[in-house]
Amino acid sequence: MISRSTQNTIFTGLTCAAFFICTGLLCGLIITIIFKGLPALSLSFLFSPAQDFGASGGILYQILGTLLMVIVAAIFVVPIALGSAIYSSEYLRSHRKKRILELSLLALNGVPSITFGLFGLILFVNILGTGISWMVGSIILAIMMVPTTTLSTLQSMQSLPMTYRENGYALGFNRSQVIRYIVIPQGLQGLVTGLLIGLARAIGETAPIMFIATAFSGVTVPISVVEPVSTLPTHILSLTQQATNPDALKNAWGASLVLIILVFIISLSAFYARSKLKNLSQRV
Amino acid sequence: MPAVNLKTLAKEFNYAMPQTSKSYLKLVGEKPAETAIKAENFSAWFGENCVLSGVTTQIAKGRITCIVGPSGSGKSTFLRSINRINDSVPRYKMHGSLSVEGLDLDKKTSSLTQLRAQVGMVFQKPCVFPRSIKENVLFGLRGHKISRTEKDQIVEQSLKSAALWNEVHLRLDQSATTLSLGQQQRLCIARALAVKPKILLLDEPTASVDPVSGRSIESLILKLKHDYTIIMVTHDIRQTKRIADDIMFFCSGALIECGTNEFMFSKECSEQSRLYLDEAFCEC
Repeated sequence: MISRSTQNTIFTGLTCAAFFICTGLLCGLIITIIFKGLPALSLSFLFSPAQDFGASGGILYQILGTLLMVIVAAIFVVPIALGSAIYSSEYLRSHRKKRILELSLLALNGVPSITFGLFGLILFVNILGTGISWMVGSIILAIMMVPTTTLSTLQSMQSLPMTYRENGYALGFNRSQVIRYIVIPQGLQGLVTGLLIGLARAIGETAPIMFIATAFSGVTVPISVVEPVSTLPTHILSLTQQATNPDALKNAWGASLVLIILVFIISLSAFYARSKLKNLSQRV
Repeated sequence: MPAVNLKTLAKEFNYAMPQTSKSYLKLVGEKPAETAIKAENFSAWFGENCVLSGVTTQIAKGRITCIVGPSGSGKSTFLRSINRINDSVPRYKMHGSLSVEGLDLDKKTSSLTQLRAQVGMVFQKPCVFPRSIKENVLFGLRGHKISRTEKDQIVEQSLKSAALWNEVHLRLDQSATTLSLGQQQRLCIARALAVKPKILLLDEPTASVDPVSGRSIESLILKLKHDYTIIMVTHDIRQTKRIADDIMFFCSGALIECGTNEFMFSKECSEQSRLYLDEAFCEC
């Protein structure tokens, strides 16, 4: 029989191993990207357009294309996620319906991203005839971000004790005032956290936007909503297909580093927003 | 609303009825000048569980009415029915007539906002919004156009009425969560008073605070009775004896007896009431 202290040591060792495997892999990945990407990084790389299918020049339009698509996607997501969370938290009385909504959102969250791309291709490009458009890409990214953002907002709203709502009603507020003055400030924290997590995921997506929103070369700043853009993930994909060209590979690492930095900035913003909005939500 | 035969209704919907209702109006001694609340054959259900049955009573203006009875007797349900806070509870239903300051609660045309503006409520656990003391007092007036001077006056008046001004007037901008529980409960009373109600509902306001704070809330309630009709649910029989003008005794969802303090603590009241009020023992 193993003694308690031995059991404790084994358990501590296993959890430590799990922790170091997890962080080790992540650190290894980040360190590799930093070392391989740093040589490509310069101001001209960041602020000049790509040339020779990306083998030379920079990634200006790819950064702009990526930011444009995810920012517009975020603008679509906010009202949908907030509205769905308010409806589920404040208006749906049936626990069964609430559960169905939550399960649907979880299921939607688990759908492979390529499926969203195919859906966009069939609905927008084939049926509606929009052609390849960055706006369609934003809509598809927004659909992908909705579950994370809605669930996070909903969780925040549901964690608000009923007594706060009752105090609001007792002060003469109607339901919309209770939602506006008490529930939404509480939900904001979850909304922003979920949105930024969704953005961090969406910014790195290639599959859903590859067929419907992006072109691999020859694009600049779009002047209408039905034009394609180039994004960092699709640019990296295009460059790795030219892996025999060392310049293209170097730029691929550089673009990867920029993408990682963007995701890192968004994740940091999520942490910052979470701590700031925690105070705000405590203000109710 | 047409008259409802409770037994027929209960049979029809297969609802559980409480023990035979002995509800009757038995106001003796001094006759109240005016009626603030009038209930006639008032019943309430949570789903299929009948929690109040056939309550008929009148509550006088400008007096302190204490509602007493064992746990689960329907005291809080009756109190919460007065400002219809229970409406937000799923599967809550009510029948019969309940009018507050002449406003008939059965009529769907009655405005809940109008009703709740006349009826302030303070709950068992102090629930301050994590905002400043000043913002808490003014919370119920959000959406009203009030000048800064008026706001300052309301804050001062409400805090003075709640006997809290002297303790907090130098730190009105500090968070309300820094106050002690007793002070928080008085702040909740000040917040309720700021919307200028005619009736104040108190659901065990001293249950969550220490005896010293409880006493200061009691003295405050005694002061407030000159300006407000106060209806208070309490489990503290000694407190009831100290501050109540009228007492309502509930048991198993029925109003067993109501009368003045002197009557209810005399030998003239029913055996059932006397047993509960003297020995906190109930056999209903």
